[in-house]
Order: sequence, then structure tokens, then C-alpha cells
Amino acid sequence: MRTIKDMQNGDTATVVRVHGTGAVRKRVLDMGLTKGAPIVLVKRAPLGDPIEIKVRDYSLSLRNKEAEIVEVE
Amino acid sequence: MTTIALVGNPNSGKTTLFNKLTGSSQRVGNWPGVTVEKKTGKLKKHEDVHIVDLPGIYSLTPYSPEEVVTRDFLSEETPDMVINIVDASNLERNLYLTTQIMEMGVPVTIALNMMDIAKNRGIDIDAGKLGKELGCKVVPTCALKNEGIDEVVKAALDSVGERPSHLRFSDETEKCISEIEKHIEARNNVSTRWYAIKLIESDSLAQTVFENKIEEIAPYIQDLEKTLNDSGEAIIADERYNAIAKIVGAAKTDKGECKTTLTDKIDKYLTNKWLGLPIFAGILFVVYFFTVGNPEEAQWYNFGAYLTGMLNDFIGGPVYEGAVEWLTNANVDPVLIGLICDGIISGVGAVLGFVPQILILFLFLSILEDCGYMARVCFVMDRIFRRFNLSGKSFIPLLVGTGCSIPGIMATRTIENDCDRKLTAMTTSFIPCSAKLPIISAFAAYIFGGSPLIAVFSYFLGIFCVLLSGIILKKWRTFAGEPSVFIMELPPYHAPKVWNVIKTTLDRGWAFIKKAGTLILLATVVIWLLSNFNWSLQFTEDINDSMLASIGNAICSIFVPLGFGDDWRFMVATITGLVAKEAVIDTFALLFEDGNFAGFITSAAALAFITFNLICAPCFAAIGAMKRELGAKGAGFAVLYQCLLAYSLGSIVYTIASVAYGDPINAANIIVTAISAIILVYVLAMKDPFKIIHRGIPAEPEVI
Amino acid sequence: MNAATTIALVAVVLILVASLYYTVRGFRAGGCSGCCNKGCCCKAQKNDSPREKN
Repeated sequence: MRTIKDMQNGDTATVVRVHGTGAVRKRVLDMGLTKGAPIVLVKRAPLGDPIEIKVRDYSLSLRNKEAEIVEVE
Repeated sequence: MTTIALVGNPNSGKTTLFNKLTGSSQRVGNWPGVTVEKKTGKLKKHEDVHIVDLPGIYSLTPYSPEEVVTRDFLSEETPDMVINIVDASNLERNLYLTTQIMEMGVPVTIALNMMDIAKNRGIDIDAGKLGKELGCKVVPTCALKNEGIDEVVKAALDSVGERPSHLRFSDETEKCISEIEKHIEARNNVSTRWYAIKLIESDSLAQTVFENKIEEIAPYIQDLEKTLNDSGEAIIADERYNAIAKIVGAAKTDKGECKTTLTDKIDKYLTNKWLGLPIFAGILFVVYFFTVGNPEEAQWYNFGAYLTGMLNDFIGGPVYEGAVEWLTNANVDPVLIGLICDGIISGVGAVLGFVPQILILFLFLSILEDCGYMARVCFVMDRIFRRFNLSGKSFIPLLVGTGCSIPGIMATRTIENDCDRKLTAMTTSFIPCSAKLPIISAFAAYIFGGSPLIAVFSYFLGIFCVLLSGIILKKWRTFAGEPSVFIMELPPYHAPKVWNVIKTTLDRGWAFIKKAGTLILLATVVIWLLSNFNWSLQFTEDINDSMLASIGNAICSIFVPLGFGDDWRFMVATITGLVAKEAVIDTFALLFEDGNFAGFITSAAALAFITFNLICAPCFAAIGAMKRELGAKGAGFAVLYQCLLAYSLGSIVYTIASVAYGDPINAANIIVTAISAIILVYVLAMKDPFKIIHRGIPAEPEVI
Repeated sequence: MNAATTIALVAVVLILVASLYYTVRGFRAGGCSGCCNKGCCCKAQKNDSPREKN
């Protein structure tokens, strides 16, 4: 399974499914990371974590741990 | 009476609109989570219309405490209508919230804000078409430039009683919704459809409301989840976003030009892999270079310190001497002259003298808050802070706390995780606030020859204590738990609004001056009376005969291990610091000739004094803020912890500094330092150091 | 006590009463006359504090 965490800087991808459970999953969905949403991985923070992505025309940052639950292709 | 609620995503400009509508001046800034409380005001020229500003929210499923406020207000107190502020540059995510509000059944008017930013990105939005597709009124606005404000209000007031339309989901979902609707009833004017959708999303608040219906409706939801092969929350989110994408597609024309925005270009450097951290350190250095410094010797380019030096000279010179001369000539009683000049003018003047420094500090903070850099700091610092069990979001409270701990402590509400939030609220006051700045400056000037290292020492001490507490307190059961998530929007930069920055700076500066004229003035008079009269209420020339001296002498020996226990005046200053930290300097001004305490305290003891006063319990107002965030028990625990930590660290600092300066060390200090060091090492090294204490306390319920 | 002293004393007492009044008013308004940020916590409503999540 390829997730946001596996993407390289500048890569583009499409969300396939959000795994995980509970509040974190709901939040990730609420922020627009739903099935079919195109995303761009902009960069990683200076120490490798968190990650900045572009989704639905805005910049969102999330940690590797949350990036891991978003399956992309 | 009519109530209009302002609802929207964080950072979409609700408070700016609120200020325009009500003529008030609530704090605005460019980071998600500036507003953490509900605020009510009256609409200008419409006394009977109440406007409620609510904390920003992404979805009606609340996540952090400040979002709960918004959800509760909408579902429990149901406003008559909602003005939904929508960021045009970020349409899809904003409409995700809009469509949820419309499902509730309240009339919604959309204020389409930030059209200019959208236009700059080559995005054109047809407001009329958008309104038609959504089924509600859409008014383009620019709250900053005052455009469209009246039209929005008019449209909102006209919409009273209207039932807005709602999105249509897939047939399977619609079927499930209508089945659930049959089993539940509307509450507080909120539609059954809204509750039905929330139940499909397994929203915990909706589930509590319809607790006894859960079993009846569960089969429908299970059916739906089986058919569409996903969980309820994901089905709803997917379908909602898909429906929105269709609406947006019809109303929006994206010319596709300038895909790299200015924000991207700036971020290339500010959050750069190599430059990100050095730039942040550099910005902090610049802020404190211009703010902190030795007022006596500052060059003009240390604006804050230079102006403070000038103002101090003016108050201590012409104002003080002029008053003495004038009152003496008028033949006023010398005791009263003492109260007015050596008491009020010297004491309050010592605090007011720092106004320029405070203003410069607030100016920088306002610019940082307004331009959008705050969220980037969280982004850059998160990894480091997580190492110490704090979230990158902890950095906003700490940075705001350099101005004043109270808004800092309140800003912790944007942190989703309960443990992290409490931990941050307890440690925010370790960062030297603007009222502690005068203490640092005075010690730097009188004891350390104006060395800038004292300020560096103070801020590093603050950060050190925050990080140390992150490790220590995480081992306390109340704070134990998984590290929180970090899902945060990085808002686009915008040039700080000059007027906004000036206004915020002046507002905060004025609050500082007002405090000097009220709380500090009262404290000054009390200290003056106590330090100039003896127990038989006779005026005394010798301060050592005064009531204050005997009170101070009785208890000051507790500070012997910290090196300043033999002079009662430092003890008294520490106590008055609880009223307000500015009162420490105020007390020095009253109890020492010209407020100069050089020669009464060794350098090592001075460092211990700074350490203790910066780390120990903050002022009463900040303790009150902690009580609001942590509850009475939590605040009590926090104060106890802070004082113990301050005492231990003060003692350790005194030992180390004494050795470094070659001063003799007293036996009490060695004992306290040894005990403190053993306890600190034990707590840091052991996995569960509080086992013995915890055994006596029943386990607390799990926190989210 | 001469006239000038009396006037000065009255002035000081008036200032003190005023500052006491404003201190108390500030504290009652939001529990924090010491807060440097009128937009943030003064006039705050008590029921806004985050509920305990249990």
C-alpha cells in the first residue's frame, strides 16, 4: 500500500482511501482528503516531519503518522 | 431579539467581519485559532440584533475544545440565522462546512470573502451562480476594505424563517437518511436530516442525544456501509466533497495561471530544509535585539532599550525632582511628599518606564501574528517539540506568551489533545512575559553591567523548563497518553495590515499602562505604607524598623538556599510579584535608593533570584487563566509544581554560579541542591517515578 | 495640617479610590485586569471554558 508518507517532494497523487480509525480519520476526511482528491507533496519540515501537502487549493501539514493512513496512487 | 451567528473555517476572517459589524476591536491574526471563545456584540444601528462570533471550525464534528463551543452553540442555542464566511480562495473545504450548516435548517447567508486573493490566483467565482447551485444567498465581501458588509447584513436579516435547501447524496445514502429520520425527532429547531447524517458519521455527540435509538437505527447504517464498502463517516465525507466539487465546478473558472503563489515562493525559504530553523532563530534574535537591552548604555538602534532609558531618566529626573520641589514649596507635609514622590512616582514610574520596550515587543508580536508566520513556526518546530512530548502547536501559546501569559494560556485551546493542551497551559508562564522583561532588564543593568546574556539566559531558561516539564509531567498519569495529531492548515501569507498592527500594539500597550495606574499603583501605596510605618503606626525614617521589614525578616530565611535569604527586600519583591510581575521592579524602586540594588545581592544570588521569579507561580491573573483551562485542582497542582521547580532550579543555579564566581556556598544551599538534583535525576531516569503517589489515587477516567 | 497638605492628601485619596475602582471593575469584567489583551479574555464568558472531556 502506497501512502502519502511514501511520496517524494514534488510528487502528485490521488487519494484512494483513508485508513485508520476514530477522530483522526474523521479529521483527515474533513480536511478534504477524500477518495479521488488530487494532492501534491510540497515538502517535508526541516527535521523530516511533519509534511506539507497541497490539497483542494490549500496547504495542509500533517505528521508522518497521519500521512501513513492515507492511501494514494 | 434576533441572533446572527458568524460561522466559518478558521482564519476565514470572521473576527474582522465581527469587528466591522459591531464596531468592537477583538483580536485578529493570521493563524488558525485566534478566536477561542464565543463573543457577542450588538449590530451597529440595530440594537435588537445580536452578533455572535464563534471560533473557526472545519466541520460540525468538533475536534478541539474551541470547536466544541461552536458546535454546541449551533445545535443547542440555535441562532435565528447564520452568516457563513467563506474563503473564496479555498472554496471546496469552506463549503464542506457550509453544506453541513444548511442541513441543520437554519437560514444561511454566505459572505464570500477574500475574493481578491482568489482573483490574484486566477480564480474567478460567479457569486450568483454559486448561490443558485447551493440554494442560498451569496454576497461577495471584502471585510478588510469594508466592501459588501451592509449587503450581507441585509441579506441575512431578510432570510429569517427561510428553510435552506440541502445537498443530495447518492440514492443509497438518501434512503438510509430517510429511514433514520423516521426514528428520531428534531431538537432545538435542528432538522432530523442533520441528526440522521451525524448518526451515520457515528458522531459521538449525536449518539448521546439519541442514545436509546442507536440500536434501532444501527441496521440501516450497517446496510449502507456494506453496500458502499466503506465506513459511514467516509461515505458521507466522500459524497459531500463530490457534490461540492460539482457545484464549485459550475461557479468557478480557474484560468490556471500562476500556479506558484507568492506564499509558495516565501515558504521555499522560511520552511526550507536547511534554512527553516536558522531563519526562525534569526527572527527571534532580531525581535529581542530591538526589544531587550541595557537602557543605560543602549545605542539608538536598540530602539526599545534606548527609549526606555530616556523615559526612565525623564521620570527619575525632571518629573520626580519637579514634583518634590513643587510640593515642598507649597509646604506640603514631608511624609505626604514621601508617599507621592518616593512612593507613587518612583514606583509606578519604574514600571511605566518600560512602556517603550513593551510597545516594541508587542509591535513585533503583532506583525508575526498578522503575517501568517505563526503556523510555519509550528510546522518547523513540531519535530523538536514532539521529542519532549509537546505538539508543534504548543509553540503558538509560548510565542503569544512572550507578550502576556494569559492570552498564551488561552491559545492552548487550539491543541486537540487534552493531555498536550493541559501540559502546554501549565508551562506557558515559564516563558518570560512582557511584565518579566523589566526584571530581566533591571538585573542586566545593575548587576551584570548591561550584558545581553542575561536576556538570553532568561529565555533559554524558559524554554528549558518547558521542555523539562514536558518530560517530567508526561510521567504523571493525568498527562500520560498518545502524542496528539498534528493536522494544521498553513494559511497564505499576507502583508501585515499596518492599521491592524498599530491598533493591536497600542491596545496592548494601553492595557499595560492601565495596569500600572490601577493594580500597580495600589500595590505601591500598600508597600510604601508598610515600609514607612512601624507596628505602632509611627512614621519611621529607618526602613529596617518598618512593618514590612519585620514581616520580610520573619520568612525570608526560606530563600537562604537560593542566596538571597539574608535581605528581606528580595523576599518582599518576590511576594509582590504574585500581584503582577511588574511589581517586583516597583518594589525595588521603593525599597532601594534609586531602585538600585547593586551591592545588596551577589551575582550568583541574582541569577538564582531571576530563575526563581521567572519560573515560580505567575501573577494572580495568569493563575486565574490557568484555573479556567485546568480547573481549580489542576491550577493548584500547576502552581505547586511551578514553585517547587523554581525553588529546585534556583538552588541549583546558585550552586553552579557560586562555584563559577568562586563565592562561598552555604550549607543550606548544598543540601537543597543535592536533594533537588537527586529528585530531578530520579524523575527523569525512572520510567514511572510517581508510582508511589499514584498508588494512593484512584485511576482517572481515560482522556481523549 | 496646612491647606496644601490637605489638598494633596485629598488628591492622593481620590486617585487611590479611582484606581481601586478600576482594578475591581477590571477583575469583575473578566477576572483579569492584568491581561494585556482586551480582545482575548476580558468580557470572556464563563461557560466558554472547554468542557472536561471524560
